[in-house]
Amino acid sequence: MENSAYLAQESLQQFLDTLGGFGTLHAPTWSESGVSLFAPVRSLDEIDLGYRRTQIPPKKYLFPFRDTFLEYREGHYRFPDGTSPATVLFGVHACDLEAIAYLDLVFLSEPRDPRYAERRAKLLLVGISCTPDEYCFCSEPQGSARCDLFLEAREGGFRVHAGTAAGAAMLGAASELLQEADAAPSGRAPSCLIPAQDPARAYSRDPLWDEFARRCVGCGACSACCPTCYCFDVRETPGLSGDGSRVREWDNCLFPSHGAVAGGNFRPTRLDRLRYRFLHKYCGFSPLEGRSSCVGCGRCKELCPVDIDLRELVAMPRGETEQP
Amino acid sequence: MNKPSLAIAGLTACSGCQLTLLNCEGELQEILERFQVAYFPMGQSDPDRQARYDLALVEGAVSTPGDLATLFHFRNASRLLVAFGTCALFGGIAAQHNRTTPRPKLLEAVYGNGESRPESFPPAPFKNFVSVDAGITGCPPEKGELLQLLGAVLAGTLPAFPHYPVCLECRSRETLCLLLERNQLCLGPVIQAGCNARCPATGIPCEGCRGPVAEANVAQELELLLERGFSREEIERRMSRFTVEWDYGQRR
Amino acid sequence: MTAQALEPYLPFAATLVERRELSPDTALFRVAPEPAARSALSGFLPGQFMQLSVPGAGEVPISPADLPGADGTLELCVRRVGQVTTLLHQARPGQPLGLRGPFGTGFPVEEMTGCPVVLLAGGLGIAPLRSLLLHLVRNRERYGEVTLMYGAREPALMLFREELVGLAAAHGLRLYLTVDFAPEQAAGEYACAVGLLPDLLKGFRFDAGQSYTAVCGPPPLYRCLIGELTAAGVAPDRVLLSLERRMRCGIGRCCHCAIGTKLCCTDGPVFRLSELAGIPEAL
Repeated sequence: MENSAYLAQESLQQFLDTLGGFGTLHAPTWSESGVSLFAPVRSLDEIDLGYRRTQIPPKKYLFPFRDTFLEYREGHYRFPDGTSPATVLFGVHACDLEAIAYLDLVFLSEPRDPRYAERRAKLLLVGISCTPDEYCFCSEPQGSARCDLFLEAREGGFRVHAGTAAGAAMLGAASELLQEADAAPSGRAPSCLIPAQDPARAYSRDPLWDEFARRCVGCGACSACCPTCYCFDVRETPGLSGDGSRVREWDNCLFPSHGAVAGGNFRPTRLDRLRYRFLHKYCGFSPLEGRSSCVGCGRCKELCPVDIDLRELVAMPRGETEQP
Repeated sequence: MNKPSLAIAGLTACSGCQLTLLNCEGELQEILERFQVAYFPMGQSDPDRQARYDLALVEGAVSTPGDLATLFHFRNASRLLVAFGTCALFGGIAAQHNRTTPRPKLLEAVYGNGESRPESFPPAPFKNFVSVDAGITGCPPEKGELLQLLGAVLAGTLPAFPHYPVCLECRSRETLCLLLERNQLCLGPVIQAGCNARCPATGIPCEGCRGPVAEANVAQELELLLERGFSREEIERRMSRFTVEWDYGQRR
Repeated sequence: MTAQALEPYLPFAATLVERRELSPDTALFRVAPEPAARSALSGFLPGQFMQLSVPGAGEVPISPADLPGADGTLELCVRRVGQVTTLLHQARPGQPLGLRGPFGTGFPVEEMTGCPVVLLAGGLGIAPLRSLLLHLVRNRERYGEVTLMYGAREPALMLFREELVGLAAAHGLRLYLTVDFAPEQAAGEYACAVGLLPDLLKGFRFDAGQSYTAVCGPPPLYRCLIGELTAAGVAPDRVLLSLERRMRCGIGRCCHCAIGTKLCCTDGPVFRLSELAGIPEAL
């Protein structure tokens, strides 16, 4: 079986049915209140193929907002029981795929994060090409190698490309629905990553820093919705029985509690916290120093209630992204 | 091991916070096994007011000399005093007109012009009078947070509640942002989370029942709401509903 | 393989063995790890830290005050300041605890061999430096002159004073104890001077070209001491700073302990001054 094939639009429903054989099918859809989100779907008509961006990125499948990651009984800690179900996440854009690749670097490097690794091993990623809107600041890639399968929109259907053995297996299972692929992929598939910035920028005297620090309401939307934000806090929750659990939860570097210790705060002002955000996003923390983690998905820009766009501090023209 | 003794009491309030304890139906039996409920007039026929308590959960605002005496009693009699609910922590509903309407007018509105008015003063939170060891915010408080507090006290510690705004929980559960998408007067950015965005998730903007989040950028929230067309009066009325003591110039 | 080597996220079991009061709010806790975890502690370096769990309250990073003993026990010098440490202070021997680690970088004790070492401790900063000091003392012949300058707020808050005085006499250490506040005679009784650490350092003569200096103390102390050390001519890569941050996970994931683009838990907590150049918030 070739790693590439052509899938006609008419066969998409059957193709999805086939993918469903590899795990529960999740895809971009709409909530009742009108929020774009990844959720379980049964059929093609529930899927929003032309979606722009989901409010919460796919990281929720790997690193949920609130996660019991340890339990203790009679004073002894252990990992909780339970495994995650196999999931096929269909319709992920190249930026979100790039973001998962970044999270993989963070959580799957040694020492591996056991909770993340377990979920990641159960998650199959099916990418799809997209049409950037005014909030996107990516390089408009038409493909991505950061997934098991990628569907690139073509006249009347998709050029489907398998990037992994699991993807090839999915193609194999759907072979009856597929035709021979046309020529090579049309668009280039550059990385979505915004170029890394000099850490010195984070300490610049640009008055925009003060303006952003004045304005930021510290709501946390920027990082909750960022596909590569992964700061987490840890809390112990004792139960009535004397046993309890340890929960980890998304944190946000703009919250005063992020740098707080008993008796003080290492990042006491919003300006300190914004500089931290810039450093983490655009300069990278050790051992990923020199590596930006901004994939240009546009969520922070769209969802910030006070229109803060940290990229204004780097004066980056649209479309200028890192070449692989 | 002796069971820690527990007191649950109320000052000027609706008793809704105390009811939260009774709403823990699934856990009530275990609570009774782990604590000796010494004083709980709302759910008990012979409360023992003379006892000393390991833990006192006291709800309500302080608004009468009797309230103050009760508060002092529980402060002195208890190892841990918990400000139980938004009134105890921030003044709550009863205090909402403290800044805007002279007290005689309020009294007249409630009691008419009659002579028999109970002695009272502007409702105030506990912190104006005593130190508290912990607080559980909310109107009413979240059952889960009450259970966490009880569990923590049994473990010899106090709960580590998060200190971030409603927006984080709201976004995380993929709720529509009512402030940005529906232009509603939502206080999410400056209000303490822990409710899992209960109201916005059902389409109701956050009215601030859990009180201010630590170091809220109040001035920016005000600016944001003014820009979106709400009047200053309307905004202040909404913000005062559960917490009257906002510093509208606070930017820290 | 030990449980620890398998799972850095999972605390291994440990038991509180004994506690010794050091000051009104600080005690030394001796903690015994489960036997299976002891080998994970064998390569422990002075300056590395452990994550100590007190079930019910959570976890805190602690730099042990000594290397693990022959029986694997750790000495943790802990001030009662937050929920976890308060619960630890209430604990009795036999209390189950959890430990993860060791994490982070330690002091470069191999590189330091043959050189004079000056240790500068402020307040609770003596804890990780005691671990270094005991290492130097146990390997006395491998190092040059060893000096400890230790400042506390007041005599009652000076930790390990008698032990330090004994060590100095037995091993020929130069020891300078100082307190910020104390009546003259009280200071005399406690055999320490009144004054601030940076002032003490100002008049101190030492081989600045060869010496390694190790600093640990409350945040404001670093700037003052570094000014003095730099002025004296100590090379920035020989100024070793043990920094404190909010280290939650200990393995470079949770990102609460960033210092510039470095992470205190994996790149530190012991940094060379030269590594912190260009990071205004570091000190």
